[in-house]
Amino acid sequence: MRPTPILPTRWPSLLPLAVTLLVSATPAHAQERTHVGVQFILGDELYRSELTGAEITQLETDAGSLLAAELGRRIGYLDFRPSDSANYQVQFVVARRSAAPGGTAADALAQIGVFARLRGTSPMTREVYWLTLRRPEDALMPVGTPADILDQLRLKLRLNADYNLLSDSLLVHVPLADSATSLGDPFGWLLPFSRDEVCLDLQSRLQIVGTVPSQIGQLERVLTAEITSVSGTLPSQPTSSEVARFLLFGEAEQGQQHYEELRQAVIAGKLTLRAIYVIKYQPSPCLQPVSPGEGPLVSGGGS
Amino acid sequence: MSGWTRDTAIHLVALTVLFPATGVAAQQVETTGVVTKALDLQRLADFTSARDLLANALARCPIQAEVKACSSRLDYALGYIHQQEAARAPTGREQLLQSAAEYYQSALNATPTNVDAVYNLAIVYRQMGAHEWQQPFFEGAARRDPSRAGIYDVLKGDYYRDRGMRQQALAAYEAAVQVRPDDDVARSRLVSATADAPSGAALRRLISVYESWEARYPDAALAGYLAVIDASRGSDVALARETLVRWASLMAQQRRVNAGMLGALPRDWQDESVRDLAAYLENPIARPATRNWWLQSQDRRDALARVGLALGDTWIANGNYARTDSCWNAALHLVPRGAPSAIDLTRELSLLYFRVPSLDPDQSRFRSLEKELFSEKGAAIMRGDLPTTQRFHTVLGLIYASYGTWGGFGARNATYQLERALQTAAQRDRLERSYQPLGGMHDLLGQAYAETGRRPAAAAAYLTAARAHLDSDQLGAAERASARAQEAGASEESVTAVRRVLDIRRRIAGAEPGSSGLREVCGTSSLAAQPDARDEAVFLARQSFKVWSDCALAGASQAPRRAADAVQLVAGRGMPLANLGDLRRLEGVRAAVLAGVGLAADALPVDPTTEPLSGDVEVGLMLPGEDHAVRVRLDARSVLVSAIVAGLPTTMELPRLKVEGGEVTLVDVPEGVDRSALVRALRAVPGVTAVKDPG
Repeated sequence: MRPTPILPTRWPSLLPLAVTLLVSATPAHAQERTHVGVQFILGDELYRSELTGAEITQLETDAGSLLAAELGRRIGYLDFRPSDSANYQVQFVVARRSAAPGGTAADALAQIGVFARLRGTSPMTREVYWLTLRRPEDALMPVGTPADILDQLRLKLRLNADYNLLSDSLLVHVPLADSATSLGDPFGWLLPFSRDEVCLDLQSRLQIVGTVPSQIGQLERVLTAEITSVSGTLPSQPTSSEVARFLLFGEAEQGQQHYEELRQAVIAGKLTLRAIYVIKYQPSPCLQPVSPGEGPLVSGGGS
Repeated sequence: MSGWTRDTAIHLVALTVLFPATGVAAQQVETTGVVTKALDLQRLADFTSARDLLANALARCPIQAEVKACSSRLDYALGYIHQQEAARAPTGREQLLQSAAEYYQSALNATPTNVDAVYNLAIVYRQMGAHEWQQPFFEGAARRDPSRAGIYDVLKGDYYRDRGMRQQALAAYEAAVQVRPDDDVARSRLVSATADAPSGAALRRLISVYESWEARYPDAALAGYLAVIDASRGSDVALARETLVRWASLMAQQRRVNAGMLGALPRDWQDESVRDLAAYLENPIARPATRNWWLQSQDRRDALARVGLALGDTWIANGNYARTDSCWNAALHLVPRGAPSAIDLTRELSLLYFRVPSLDPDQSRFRSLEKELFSEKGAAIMRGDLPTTQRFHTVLGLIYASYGTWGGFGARNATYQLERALQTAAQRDRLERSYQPLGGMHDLLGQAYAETGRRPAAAAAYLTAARAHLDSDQLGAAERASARAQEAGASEESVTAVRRVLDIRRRIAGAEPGSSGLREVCGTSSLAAQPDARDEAVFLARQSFKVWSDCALAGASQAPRRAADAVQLVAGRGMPLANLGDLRRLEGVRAAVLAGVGLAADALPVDPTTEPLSGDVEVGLMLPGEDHAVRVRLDARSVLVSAIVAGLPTTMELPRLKVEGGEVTLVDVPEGVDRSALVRALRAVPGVTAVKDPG
């Protein structure tokens, strides 16, 4: 006889029983994760002078793929792909940490590493120095083959790269979504994603950017929200809202400027959402079920 | 009738006819066909047809015990289809998930060892939200599917967390981190649960965990320290302050220091430690007040000096050299001469003056730094921190060489500094079981000797450089260094020995894979000259590894055996790898050896976070830009298989084997191989404890 789990009827305390769904002008809909193009550029002359043009091109392609794959594994809420033509572009550029005004001889003792640059969010390019490949005292070490450079990068990405620095400095400016269902009570936003689609968990924090009408035109307003619900936490509603039970819910953090103004705007249907950003990333395991077509079904001892 | 329905009907008729007639094997084939068809339908989002197809097939499964795999497999597939549908359906998700759970449970009832059913069921339960009745499942999942224990620990922790059982959640996350320290999610969960630590002792235990993350997961360690500060600032301010020092120091090491960094701390924590750090960040060039909290102990001073170092580093990247100069000099006054941060500051200031001569036009400031540094106390401390010491001597050696200050009395010249750098490197290599070839440094030292008229020393240094360049696979540089050695008066014999190795390496590199030229050089060339010193013997072993590996990987004759010899050379001697090329060689020959007996290989673990098992061999590899060698682990099975392949007679074609622990099972023996001779040969291999021949 097959077991029948008993589904609970209580609702978690974080949401009041009488929840009112107030659907904004832009209801939540299934949305693709934001596509972020990843590029690797071997910019430093020390490296370029040791490799042929074809080797540089191949290395840049391979390293771009490697970085996109590793970022995808570490930061699940964006869709990283090797590309040089996406709306949002992260370029990883190998260059000197700083130029030496002392001339060529002085420049030999330079720190060389990977800068990460974000393009596409504004006219301004945002940049951080991310990974050191060679320190001044490595000046006499060989650059190595393209395979050596790629392997060094691969190991650094696995062993000690600081992904939070990328999230905090650059990716915080790439929107997670440009639409969501706004709720007035509890005050927050149902994101167009489930937990397993974007690997975001409870305690992730969001920045919500929207506009509200005023006598002098549309005013931009910014609020922060925290993901307080990941599944099954909203009560049953008519068909259109049942999906909501499996969507992430970002609850506006109280005590902020414009909190009440925006809540009222949401209730009145006057908030126009512009974008939602992840400002603190709490990863969730993006678990995918094993298909019956994959691998052996049984391992360990026999039954 | 739609296409799928017609196909299904035909399929079901076939099933009905075939099951009783053709027995278990045919039934398994049919089940596979049904599952495949259902998956095709599911991919087309035709869930109803997929479910119907499977349900019909399930109804026709034989009931005999020996064919229960039929129902188990179809139950699993039905669970999967329901789960997939739940992820996409606009309505009825809860019911779909409940059905998925029931089918997985049913599959498990029939086949309790179906670990994928355990895993998928865990995902279903997680999607349903945490309910009390799930607790026994989450508490037992890791026992049922040990290979995914770390994942289940996280899911169990999430279950407890969502049920408000905070202490249990913390314990589960700690267990998850122990099992899978590389898991970002497990670390993140532990950090999030830090606030639930029941006592100061528990928080201290967590601090030691976060400290162990500093080198490998600095971002997670920083987040962990912040969580400890947040958890302890109200109840144990001393602990919060202690953690703040660690946090500030690591922020500095990670070069994440800036004026706004304190925004990461709890906003309402108005402690004097925070206030005084804020004052320093605002004006790092001014001398902090004597009563500044950060000046009251050595570790705080060191942390503050590191913050200053990092701040200056930020400005230097923006070309603000004068400000950096002031900041670093001010930071240098915060710490005693021999403190680790003082050595780093001195090195960076020396480099700054070298790279920006306008800051020190008469080199007086550089000389003043030397004086500070080579004081007795500074030197004594430096000896204890080998990576810092090596970095320091290397930078000074390069600067003196650039100035043309090759020799002279005392420490203020290239020769002294380069010698110390290389001695320290050798000392580190002994301690870390690593090897840094440093051909360029040996070359430069040879030049320093030559410039100061020490020809025999120059010849020896150039010869060492030539060998080191061969270790780094820099054949052109090795050629040039050997020429310089000859010019400096090295013996004909020693130069010839190096050139013989160089010649073999060049011929292998130049030969087409699988060509007769390759076979010739790999078959006839030998490095086995009689070494006249231990260093030379070790050098020849490293070169043998490269030659055997390159020959095996380029398809020379007896490739698996050459590959096995190469693996044995590394495993038998615990021989460190000279560069990333050697890592690729080792991965290649290991895979070739395993493939030779029909076994698959995965990637070699580099710096694994788990403890080695008995028989595993770990060797060091020093990477550029890193302070410590990483460990590369050769698993015990690969070592044993390489011993087997190397130990079997070269005339014997390799069999296919199964190897578990020391037990070897013959899977497939080539025609013409004498099985009893094979068994005897296998039993003679050290490490083989039993040989099974099912044939």
